[in-house]
Amino acid sequence: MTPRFKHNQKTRAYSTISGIFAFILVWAGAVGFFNKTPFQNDLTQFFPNQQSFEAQYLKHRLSPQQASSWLMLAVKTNDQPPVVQSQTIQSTLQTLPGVIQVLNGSETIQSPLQQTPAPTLYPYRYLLTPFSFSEAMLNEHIQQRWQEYQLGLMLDKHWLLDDPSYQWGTYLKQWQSSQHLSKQNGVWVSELKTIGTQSPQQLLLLIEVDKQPDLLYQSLLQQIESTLNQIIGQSHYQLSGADWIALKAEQEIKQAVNWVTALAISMVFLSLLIAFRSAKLILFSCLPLLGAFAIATLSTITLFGSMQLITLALGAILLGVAIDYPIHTITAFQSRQASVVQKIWTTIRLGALTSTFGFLMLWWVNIEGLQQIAIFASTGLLSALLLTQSLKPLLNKHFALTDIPAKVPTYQVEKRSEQHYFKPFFMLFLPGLVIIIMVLALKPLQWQDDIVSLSPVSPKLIETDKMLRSLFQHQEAGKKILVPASSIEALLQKQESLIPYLENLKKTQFIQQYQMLSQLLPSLALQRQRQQNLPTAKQLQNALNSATQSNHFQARHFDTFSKSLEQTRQLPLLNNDMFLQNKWISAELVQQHVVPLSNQILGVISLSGVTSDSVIENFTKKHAEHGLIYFNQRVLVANQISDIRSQLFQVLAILIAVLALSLGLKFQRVKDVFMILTPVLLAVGATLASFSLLEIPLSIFHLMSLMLIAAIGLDYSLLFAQGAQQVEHSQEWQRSIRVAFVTTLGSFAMLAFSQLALLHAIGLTVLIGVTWVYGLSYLSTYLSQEKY
Amino acid sequence: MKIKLLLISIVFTSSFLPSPVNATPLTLEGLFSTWSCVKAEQKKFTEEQFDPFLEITTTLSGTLHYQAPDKLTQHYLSPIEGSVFFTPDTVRLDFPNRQLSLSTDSAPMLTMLSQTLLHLLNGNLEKLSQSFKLEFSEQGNQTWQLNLFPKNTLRVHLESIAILGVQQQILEIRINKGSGEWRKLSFKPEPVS
Repeated sequence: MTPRFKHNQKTRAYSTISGIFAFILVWAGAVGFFNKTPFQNDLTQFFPNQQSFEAQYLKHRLSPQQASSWLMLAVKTNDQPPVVQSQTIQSTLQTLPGVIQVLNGSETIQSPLQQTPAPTLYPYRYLLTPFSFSEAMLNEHIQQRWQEYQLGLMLDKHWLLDDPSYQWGTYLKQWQSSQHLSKQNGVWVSELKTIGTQSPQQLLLLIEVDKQPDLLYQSLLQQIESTLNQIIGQSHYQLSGADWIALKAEQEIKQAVNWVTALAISMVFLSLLIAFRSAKLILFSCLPLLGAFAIATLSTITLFGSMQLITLALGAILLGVAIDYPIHTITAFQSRQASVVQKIWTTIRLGALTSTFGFLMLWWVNIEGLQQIAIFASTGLLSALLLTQSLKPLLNKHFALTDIPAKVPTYQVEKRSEQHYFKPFFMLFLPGLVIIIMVLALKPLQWQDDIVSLSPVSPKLIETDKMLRSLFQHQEAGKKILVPASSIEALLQKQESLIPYLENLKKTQFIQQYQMLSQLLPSLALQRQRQQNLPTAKQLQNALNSATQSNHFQARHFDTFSKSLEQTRQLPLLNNDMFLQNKWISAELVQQHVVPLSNQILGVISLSGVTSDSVIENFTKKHAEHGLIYFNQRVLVANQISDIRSQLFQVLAILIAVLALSLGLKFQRVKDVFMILTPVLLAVGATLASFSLLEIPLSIFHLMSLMLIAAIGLDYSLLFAQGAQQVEHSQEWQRSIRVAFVTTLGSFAMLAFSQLALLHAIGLTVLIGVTWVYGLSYLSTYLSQEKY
Repeated sequence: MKIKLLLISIVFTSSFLPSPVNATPLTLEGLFSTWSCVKAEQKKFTEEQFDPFLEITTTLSGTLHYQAPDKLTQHYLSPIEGSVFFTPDTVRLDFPNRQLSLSTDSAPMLTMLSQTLLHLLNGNLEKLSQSFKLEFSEQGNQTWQLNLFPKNTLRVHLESIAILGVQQQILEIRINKGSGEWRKLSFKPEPVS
């Protein structure tokens, strides 16, 4: 090779690498320009796409799609009277743009006649609420109104005369879900005693915020936080809510990923510095990694439109795998023998391609979140391999490689097949397998089947949310009865027919409360019935005469009431469209009660204070004619996670089969495939046994990490096995694996120390697994080389 | 409702002023100076209300409890038992099946009037003069009349407050609303100790 040729080759290599990174920059610019929200945190992307009503409802329920959202705020009381403190916080928060309302329990129902414009549903009050007219009923109401009138306790005298039975107030109460909270001096406070412990009293407030575009929304939530820090102090309040958790989780993930990435890079740099002692080589090692990370991220965003933060978190993992390719290559170049480079490169390429193909298998798990991980990991690994290859001319120049004939007879560089299979089999594989089986049989694996195991949220945030839910008495948020129906009218009629039975569940204390759409919008049939049951003018006059006998009111004072009843008789019935067109209706609240599906609708009866799941199960079975479904989020999530787990095991099995097939095609000998693959399989088993002994429950992220162990382990096993067969330079192979092992260990140890359950799970699994696979591959090679 | 509550409060508070101690010459400053010395006291009241819209007159009665400087409780005994609590920033109602707390933010008018009420009880003539035009006149035989005319936004709801008294003791208070509605509070004169 002439110097001129080498110079041209080097220039071409620089051009190729510069070109790749320039392309990445242009790509990133385009993605940034066209996609303003490239990163998202939607847990439902990791749920199976099942067609059952419960599964569809669960996805709907967990999707961030509401127009506004609620935050729960608990504040420690200070020296001020609770009412003053609560109202100071309320008024301060209400001044923030984007805060729709702040409720603290002091809200009073406004007179509908003093509102501009008057609520359009007000004339429908006798159709929207039960109005069982009788003389006795009217007498009782008017007597009560008389007491209020005497003390000046009525909001509006004209409203009192227009609506003496307080139908509008009754209807408004149906909309308020926080009626049950304790009050002190008219504002919500926590119960003095919480479960098992005596805790200080706290003020409770609910904040409704407008869900603006992402960035504005995040800045609004941050503004709320900084305002609370200013007026209350950071340690004196607790805030939670679905969107708050999402924001905090996103911040935590970004922070953790940055932190972990920085530490992992430092570890990798340190290991590389010790191994290579050259800044240029360290740069060469890092280029494939940086390029792979960027290409993986951009590919995922381009293909899916956005990328889940959980997938991004997986990016940190790529550090540990992708760095191995340049490490092995550079170590091979350090031998300054083209034959060694050629041999190691073939092995690296085999390992990388099988791993890429293995990760791609995740695509067949029909869950978008896992499909993103498949694309991210496989494009990342492939990019790392290709970038490493494009570095080879530069390394060639750097190490001034000794030329050898292009075709070297195998016997010159490899020992003839002198491996012993019986010794590793009987001394390592068989006892190892027996121990793993015994451990797993005696101490079965524990699984994490709750939604928390899927959530990238830190335990602290989850704990705060749990506590606030308890204070706001929202513990049973995940228990509902689903009512499928062909139309809204059919749904409303079904729900109305269930009311006596639901009331019975309340009476027998199997539930505390229930909420459903028919409480807000009665069916047309019921409205028609109520309209027909309205009293005649004569009946009303007689009842009014009687009811005003024992007070100073006179029947004529209630002329507006009589007119209102007459108008109600003439009103067109209120259908769903008219109901939704009403600006006064909270679309979000309606969304909570009705979920539109492809060809029908799903009504939701929200339950609180469920004391027996089996009673509710029986209730739904008893009313099977309505197709009722008991939606128990905890159980459903557990089943779904169990499904994901089965699928992941299948993918792991396919991955191992693909690895075996690839090795079979390469080596054409079952014994070789066996010697390379068995340490990897045993390492996977030993990792599971380790978790069993450590009593650590496994989530699906632990399982996904097992695939990573298989991918990394294959590289180690291949390099150990191939290195052992080299006549010369076998120490380069050993060194190559050692450097890769130390960098992997370092970077995943950083993940294992993360507070985020997701990163911790991946870090710990790979840390344990890689140690096993390194040890087993080494021992297997060592034993196969020993003479009898 | 809020203004009505306030009017009741003013009537009751005014009636709560101390009993005469001696027959010194009556001046506005002298009356307020005497009232500012009150630390705690309790009195009975009877109140008449007239509603021109419904042409209904009602009667209420109860006791008033004052604790200097800023706690006042009106306790109704008839026709219904219940209480209204006043502080400078809040007015709280506690009646059977009806509890309500109103603050400066939710009911600024009511709390402003609540503060007026407490200024009267504290004998704080200066603060009261900032919100009301005061007209004091002696009527002979140690009787007097004090008229309060609101200067601020209270004028929308309140026409005037007329307080009739003998020596330092209040006999009758009448609150006149712009709508023609009025409330009159009566006390029996107490013997001079």
